[in-house]
Amino acid sequence: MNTKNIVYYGIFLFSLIILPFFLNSDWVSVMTTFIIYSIVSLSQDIVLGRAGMFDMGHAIFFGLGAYSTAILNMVYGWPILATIPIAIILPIVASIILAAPIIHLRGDYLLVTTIGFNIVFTQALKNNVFGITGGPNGIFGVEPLKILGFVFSSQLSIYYLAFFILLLTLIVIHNLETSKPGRALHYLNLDSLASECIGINTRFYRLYSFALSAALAGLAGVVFTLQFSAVSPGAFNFIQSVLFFTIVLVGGPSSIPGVLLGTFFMFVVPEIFRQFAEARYLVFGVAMILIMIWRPKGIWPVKFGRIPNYLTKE
Amino acid sequence: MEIFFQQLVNGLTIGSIYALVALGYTMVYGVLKLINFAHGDLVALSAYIGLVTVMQLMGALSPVLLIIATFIITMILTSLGGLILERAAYRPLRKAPRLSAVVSALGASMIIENGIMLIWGPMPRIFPASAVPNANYNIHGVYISLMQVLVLVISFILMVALYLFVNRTKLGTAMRACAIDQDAARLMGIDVNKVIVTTFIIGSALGAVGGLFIGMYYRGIYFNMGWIYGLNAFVAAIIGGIGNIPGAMLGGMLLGIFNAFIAGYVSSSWSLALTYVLLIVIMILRPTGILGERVAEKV
Amino acid sequence: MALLELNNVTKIFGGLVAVDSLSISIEKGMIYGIIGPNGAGKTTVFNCITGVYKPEKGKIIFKGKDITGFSSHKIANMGITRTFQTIRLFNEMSVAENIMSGRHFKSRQKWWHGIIHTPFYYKDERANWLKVKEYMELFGLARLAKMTAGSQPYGVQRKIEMARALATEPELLILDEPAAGLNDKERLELVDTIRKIRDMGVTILLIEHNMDLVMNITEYISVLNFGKKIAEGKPEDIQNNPVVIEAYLGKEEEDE
Repeated sequence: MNTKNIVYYGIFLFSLIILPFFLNSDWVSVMTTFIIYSIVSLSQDIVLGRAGMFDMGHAIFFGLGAYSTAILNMVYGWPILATIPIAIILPIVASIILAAPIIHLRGDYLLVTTIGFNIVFTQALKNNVFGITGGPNGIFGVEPLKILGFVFSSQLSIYYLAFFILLLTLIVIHNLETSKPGRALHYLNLDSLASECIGINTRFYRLYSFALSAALAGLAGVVFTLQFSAVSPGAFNFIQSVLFFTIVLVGGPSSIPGVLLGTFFMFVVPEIFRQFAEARYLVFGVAMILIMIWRPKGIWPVKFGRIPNYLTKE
Repeated sequence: MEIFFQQLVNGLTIGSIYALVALGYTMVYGVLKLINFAHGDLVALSAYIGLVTVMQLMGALSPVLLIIATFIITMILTSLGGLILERAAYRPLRKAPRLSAVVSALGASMIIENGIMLIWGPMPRIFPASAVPNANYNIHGVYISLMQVLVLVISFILMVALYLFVNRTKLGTAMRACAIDQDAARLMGIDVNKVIVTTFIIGSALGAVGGLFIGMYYRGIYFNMGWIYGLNAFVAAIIGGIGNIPGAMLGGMLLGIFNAFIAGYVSSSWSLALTYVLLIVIMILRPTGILGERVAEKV
Repeated sequence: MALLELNNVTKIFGGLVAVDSLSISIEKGMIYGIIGPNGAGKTTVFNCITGVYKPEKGKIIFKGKDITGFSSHKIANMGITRTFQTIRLFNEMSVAENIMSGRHFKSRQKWWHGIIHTPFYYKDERANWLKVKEYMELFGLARLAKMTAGSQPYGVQRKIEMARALATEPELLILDEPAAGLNDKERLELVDTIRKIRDMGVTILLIEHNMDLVMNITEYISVLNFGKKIAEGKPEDIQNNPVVIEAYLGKEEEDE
C-alpha cells in the first residue's frame, strides 16, 4: 500500500469513527446499515469482481448468517456470541455445496442458477422449513450481543461493532489482493485457460472465492440481525442480490473504494432523497444507465499494477 | 383423470403466455448475448397500456372489435417502448463490458417498474369483466374458458408466424446469421442495427400479447408483476436453450404444465421454489438447455 | 529415457480425425520442432499434451509417468508449460503481475495467506517477486514492469508470454508459433532467447511456420499432414525429404 492510499483510507475510517457524533440516531442507524451493506458488497465483489463469476444470489449467504444467529438464539437459546462461528461456517459450507456443481458454468448460466438458488432459499424461509424460520414474518426479538458483561444494545454500540467488522473485512480483502490466492482470482477471471496452463487450479480458487465471500457475508448477517433484532425473508430475497450485484458493477469491480462508493450511491443516496418517495427509484434507474454509459468499468475502476517498489527501482 | 386434464389445459394456457414472453428474452439474447432484464417490465407495461385502451374504447366498439383494437394498439405502443429501450439503454453499451449492459438493463427495469407505479399507483388494477370474453365450456368434466381457447389459438398462430418469419424470410435469415456471428454477418453486408431493431420490435410485440393475456386471463395486474412473470418466462427460455426460438416455445409450455401440476398435485406455496429447483437441475445436467447447442471453446 | 513420449495419440472432433495415432519422442535438452501445413493438427497435439483436450486413444508419458487425461494445471505443475498461438495474456494487468502468475505453483503460500499475512508470507512474497524481476531482466522487460500488458506491442507481448511460461521453471516449454507476427529483428532476438532458455536446461518443443527459424534452431523435426506424421528426422534430412517437399514445402512456395 502506498502513502496516498494510507492517507485516503485513514481519512475514510476516521470519518466513520467521528461521524456518529454529528448525526441523530436515525442517521446513525442508516449509517450502520450502510456499513453492513458495504461488508456484503465487498464480499460479493470477491466472487463477482475478482473471480469474475456472475453470482446473483449473494443474499443467500448474508441471510444464512443472519438466520443462523436469529434461530440459534431464539429457538435454541444460544447466547449471540456462540452463534457467530456457526453464522460464518454455515454460509461457507452452503457456498461450497451450492457452487461446486455449477462452478464450471459460463457467465450467464451461472447468473441464472444463482438467481434460482436465491428464490428457492427465500421460498423455503417463507414456507417455514423445519418450523424454525418463522415463515413470511421471520423472527423477532433477537437478544443483543453480550461480551464480557458489555451489552451491545444501544444504536451507537452496534454502529461501532459494524465498523469493527468492516475494518476486519477491509484488512482481509487487502490481504487477499496482495497474496497468491487473490492474484489467482484475477488471473482465472481474465483468462481461465491461460491460468490453468500455468498451473492454477481454477476450480479450487473459484470455490475459495465463494467460501471466503460467504464467510464475510455471513458475518455481516450477524450484525444485520443485531441491528434490527429481527430477520425476515424479504431482506434476503433475490432483489437484494440484484442490489449487491449492481453496487459492485456501478462502483467498480475489484476496487475497494469503488465498491464503497457504489454502496453509498445505491444505498445512502436513496435515503437522503427519501422525501421524493417513489420517484427516487425512477431517477435511480436513469442514473444506473448513465453511469454505465459514461463509466462502463464503474465510478472508481480498479487499477492494476500492485507490485512492490523494489521491482521498479534499481 | 379429470384433474389431470384440467391441469394440462391450465398449464398449456399459462405455458403459452410464458412462451410468448420467453421469445422476447431469447431473441434478444440470440443477437445481443444480453439478458434483457427490462423485458418483464415491458410486459407489465403492456398490460397497463391494454387496460387504458380498453377503458377508453369500451362502449365505442363492439366486443370483438374492442379486443382486436386493444391488441393492435398495445402491440404498437409496446414495440415503441422496446425501441426506446434498445436505443437508450443498450445501443450505447454494445461495445462495453457485458456486465455493464446487464446493469443498464436492471436500471431500465427499475425505470419502467417505478414509472408504472407513479402513473397508475401501487395498488393492483382490475381488467373490466365486460371487456374479457367469459364463456365457459365443459368437456367431460374439464372446464375450458373462451379466454383459454383464445390464448392457445392466438399464441399458436403467432408462434407459427414467427417460425416462418425466422426461417423463410430474408430478414429472418439475417437474424439467425447475427445470432451465430455478428461480425461475420456485418461483413456479409447484413445491416446489424436493422436486425437488432427488428428483434426488439418483434420481441416486444409478442411480450405485449403476453402481457394482455396476463391481464385478461388473471384480470388483476400490478406494477411489479414484471419481475415474477418475466423471471418465469426467462427460466422457460433457459430451459429450452437460450437463444433458441423453438426452445423458448417448448420451455414455456413445459414450465406452464410443470407449474400447473405442482399447483394441482403438490402445493401452490412450493410451486415457485420447485420451478427454480427444476431450473437448477437442468442447469447442472444440461447447461445449454433442452434444444441449445454445446459450443466448444476454440483454443 | 525420453522426457516426453507420445504413443499413438489420436484426437477426434465429431468424426474428423485431427491427430491420427501420432507417436513422437522428445529427449531432454532438445529443441524439437513440429511442422506441417495449416490444419495438420499441430496445435491439437499441443492441446493434448497440456491437458486442454483429452485424446481418444493413446498415451502421453512425461518423465516415465502417464499424464494422459490429467487436468491442465496438474500437467503445468509437473513441469510442462506453454505459450499460445494467439497470445493469451492477462491484458488488464501489469507486465510484472503477468509474469508473477507463472510463480503461482512455486510460491509456497497457502490458502490462508489470502486472509492473514504471516511472516512466512512476506518472505515468500519477496522471494517470488525477485524471481519475477530476474525473468523481466532476462527478457528485457524490467522497465515495463508497471505497464499494462495488453497495451504492449506484439513482439513484447510474445516476450511476456514466454517469460510467464518460463517463470514456472518448467522442464518442457511448449511454444506455439513463437515467431508469428514478429519482424526480422525480433525474430533474430527470438532465436537467441530460445537458445538461452535451452541452455538453462529447459527442453523446448515448438510449432513454427517460419522455415528459416525452424531449420536454424531445431535439432529434430516431425512433419505432420492431416494429423499423421509423414516424416521425422534432422532438419537437413527433412529439407531434402521428397515427401515433405511435396506435402508442405512445395505448397508453401506456391503460396508465396
